Amino acid sequence: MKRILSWLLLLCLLAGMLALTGCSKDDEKPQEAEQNEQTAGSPEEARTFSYLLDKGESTEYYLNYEDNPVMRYVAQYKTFEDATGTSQSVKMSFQIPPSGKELDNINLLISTQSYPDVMSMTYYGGSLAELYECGSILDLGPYIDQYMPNYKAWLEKNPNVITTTPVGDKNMQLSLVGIRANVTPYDLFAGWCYRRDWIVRYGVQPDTFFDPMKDTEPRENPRAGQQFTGCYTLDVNGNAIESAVLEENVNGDSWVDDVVFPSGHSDPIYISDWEWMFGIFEKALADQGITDGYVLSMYYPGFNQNGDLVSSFGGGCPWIYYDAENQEAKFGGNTDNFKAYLQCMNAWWNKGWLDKQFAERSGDMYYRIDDVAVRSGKVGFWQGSVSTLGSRIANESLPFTKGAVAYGAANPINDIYGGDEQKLKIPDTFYGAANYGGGVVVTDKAKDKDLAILFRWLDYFYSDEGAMLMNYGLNAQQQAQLQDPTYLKYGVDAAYTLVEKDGKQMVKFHDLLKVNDGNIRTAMNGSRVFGLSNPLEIDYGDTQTYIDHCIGQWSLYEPVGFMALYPFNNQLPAETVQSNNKVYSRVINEYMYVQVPNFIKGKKNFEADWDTYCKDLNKRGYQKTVDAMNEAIQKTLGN
Amino acid sequence: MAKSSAAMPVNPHDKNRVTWKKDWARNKTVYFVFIPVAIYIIITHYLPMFGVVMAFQNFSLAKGVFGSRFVGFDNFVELFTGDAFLNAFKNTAIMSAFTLVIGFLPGIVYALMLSEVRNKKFKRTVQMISYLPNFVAPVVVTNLVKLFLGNDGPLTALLTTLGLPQQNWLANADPPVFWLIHTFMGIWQSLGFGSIMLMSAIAGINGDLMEAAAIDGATCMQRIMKITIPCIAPILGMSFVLNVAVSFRTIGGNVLLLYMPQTYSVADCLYTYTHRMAFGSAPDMGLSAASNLFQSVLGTVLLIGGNILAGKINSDARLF
Repeated sequence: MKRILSWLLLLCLLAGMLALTGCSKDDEKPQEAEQNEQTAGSPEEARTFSYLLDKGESTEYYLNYEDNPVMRYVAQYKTFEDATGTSQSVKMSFQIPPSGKELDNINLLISTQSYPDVMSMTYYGGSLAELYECGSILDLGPYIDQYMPNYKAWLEKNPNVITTTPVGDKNMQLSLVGIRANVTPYDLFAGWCYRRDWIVRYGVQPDTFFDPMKDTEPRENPRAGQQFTGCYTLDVNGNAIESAVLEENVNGDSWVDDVVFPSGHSDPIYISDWEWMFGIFEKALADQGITDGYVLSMYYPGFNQNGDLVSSFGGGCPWIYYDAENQEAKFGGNTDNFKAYLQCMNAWWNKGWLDKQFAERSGDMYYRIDDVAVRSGKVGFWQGSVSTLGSRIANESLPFTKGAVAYGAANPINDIYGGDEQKLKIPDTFYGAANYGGGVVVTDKAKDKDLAILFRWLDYFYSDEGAMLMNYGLNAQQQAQLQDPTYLKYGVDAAYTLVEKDGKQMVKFHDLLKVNDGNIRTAMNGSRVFGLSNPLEIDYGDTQTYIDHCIGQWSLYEPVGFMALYPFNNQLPAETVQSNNKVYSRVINEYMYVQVPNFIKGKKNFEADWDTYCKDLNKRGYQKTVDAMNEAIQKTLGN
Repeated sequence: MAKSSAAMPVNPHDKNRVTWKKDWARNKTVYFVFIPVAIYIIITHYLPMFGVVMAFQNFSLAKGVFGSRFVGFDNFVELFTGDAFLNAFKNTAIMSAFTLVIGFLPGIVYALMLSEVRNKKFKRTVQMISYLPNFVAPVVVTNLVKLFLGNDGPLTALLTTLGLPQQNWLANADPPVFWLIHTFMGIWQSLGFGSIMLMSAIAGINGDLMEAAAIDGATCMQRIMKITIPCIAPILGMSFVLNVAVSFRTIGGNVLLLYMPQTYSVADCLYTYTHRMAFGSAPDMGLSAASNLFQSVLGTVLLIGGNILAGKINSDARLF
């Protein structure tokens, strides 16, 4: 009996195991099967592709990117010529990486060879040349020539732009880059913002004016010590209003005031202007009884490797930047400029102006600034996006946001800290928008499919018609045809209309999409795929002047030192890319992230510890990266 | 003869008497049952060991294990010459010591105290409550710790009233703040669940011994010191050996969710270093694999060393 029971038990166990194995096989089947069966060759499968995007949309709008209005429109109403010359529709499915895990996701896809047919490489830190050598991605050159007339036309019109990658002795088109037809200040996603209404409410006219780059001596201010005045001129519906104290139902973009900074300008230009303003913000916080707020929300962990603000102290950035004058790459983490920046931050820390927890916000989003405090109206100065400008942070349930008016500010010019080399120099290295960027690759998974139709589909978004759809969404005719549920849900009959202004054809967004709050505009258009951006200029209507002014401040100077604007990175050999990643990790992540906050907080002394800090940085091998970049620069310039 | 032989109990470990073939014939059902387990262990625990090759390669995700360049011990040279790894090693050793020294004792005391409780209802309720933290996901526990010890957290407020400065305690890089937080968090999480084994060992002590000692006038403390502790010593020893062995591998799971560059000097440990090298913004799989291999070798050495040490103290406490 015992023996029978034992055998029964064994049989059950084996049956259970087989069942489990069977289950897991079934579970895995879709992925595996998809990869293999797609190559099988039925005409429909040959026109079915997958595309990895950088980012999707909130589930508030739709669950899958296939349900994006533009993608639905293209899938239903656009046909493309396939390899046999027949017009066919394309079935494109999209993959979206988990937010915050984009790098892990793409690394996993590549290491397990389970990547899709088309893949955005924005987050990939490795080398395209290496992927090509491994046979994972295709050389797109022949396909661009044959099937992508719009993309090819742009390349021919912009011969100075290098979109190729060196593989051995050849330069190959391994990726399709996203192109901007017009680079406008609107392409800047963020900049410095400050509470302009606090200056009016809590500040007074400065005693004197002095512009250190123009004046030889201070000028008397005839209105010294007087209160500033400021008011809103429009209500939320765009109607003119008279009351200066009205704080409800106002359009923050209509704010006007008579604020003048100590440099004599209506916008803050110098570090001394910023410090004057910070003094007012200190008073504003005290007068309002805000104990958990502060003057300046710094990005984590006290510096931005793109160079924002750091560059104000003689130029450059704390990582690798391009010295346009000498046409060479330089490392800026151990320069006197960066030291002056840190001395300024240390002075601000000692005055209690900085967010006390600036170095601890490792988990917060977006440069890890304290977005919660900013949007609660408890911060005077921060780096933020357009969505924090004007009265956009105003929220009825948050008392300190009542009547908030946020203005944009340019990177300042240092006139206080460091020596002559660090003073009165125009900032030259900070985030900037290039006329092309990013890139998608086509992988070997697609090579047995109908590549003609795939490349024609990709090229469509570089055409005038496709670019309009991709950038601005559906017009009235297209929406009438499609009856897209997302548009219907939000009552949008057309995402935009075309208007004539100053002799130019411009795009005017539907009122709901004027500001891209909650990415609503992005959800209505198809801009997550790569193509031609900004084919037309945008008319922002009554907020135009205000937004233009704020963004104008953000783009007041040219970021000539910002490396990402140049094609040098594409020219780096595979080994160098890997080596650069290592050095970046050792220099920035492992060392500067730890040490820099100590200088700002005064835990490290500039006299005693700066030399040791510089020596430690030297040991981490940044020079190798600088040399590699310079080699690429020389090669590029030579071309 | 055969009759007497069949009647004799057979010691399965006596190699002179039982051949492998005989053992197979006698216990093949057991071996059949074990086959799936063996397959599972080989597939999930031994085959992945092939991945240690990465530690000797300039590993490329695109090229994989078979395509990446072999670089010998370069990754280990980089590992041992970099200050981040040495700092991580130091912190792992310190946090392991804290966990073993401070973290081991409360479980014993708790089990002893609970074993003296006579009210069964109360005892079970307390046990149940003390088990609960073990079933809370680490990410929830660490978030609770962040909330409690943050700049405005209730524990911070309590410490501030005691005269300590108001701060985010998790961002404090002064030793031994982070080490203590980590140790006490571990105690809170595992106190109840970790005491189960000790409770059952205590329950297994012959009641007659306790009764006799009580009749002889032994106090409660004397009974604990003279009977209970000696009786559970082998279990304690085995538990200690296991803790020593796994400490270098387990220290870090919670740290990963608590640390930040500001506290690397005290919080970065082998686990977090390995994880950061593999999944950071600039992944270096070769270096990460080298660090992980070092961690495994060290764990094995500690397990063997701990086992020998435990055997020297009490031969019953040896694990193998």
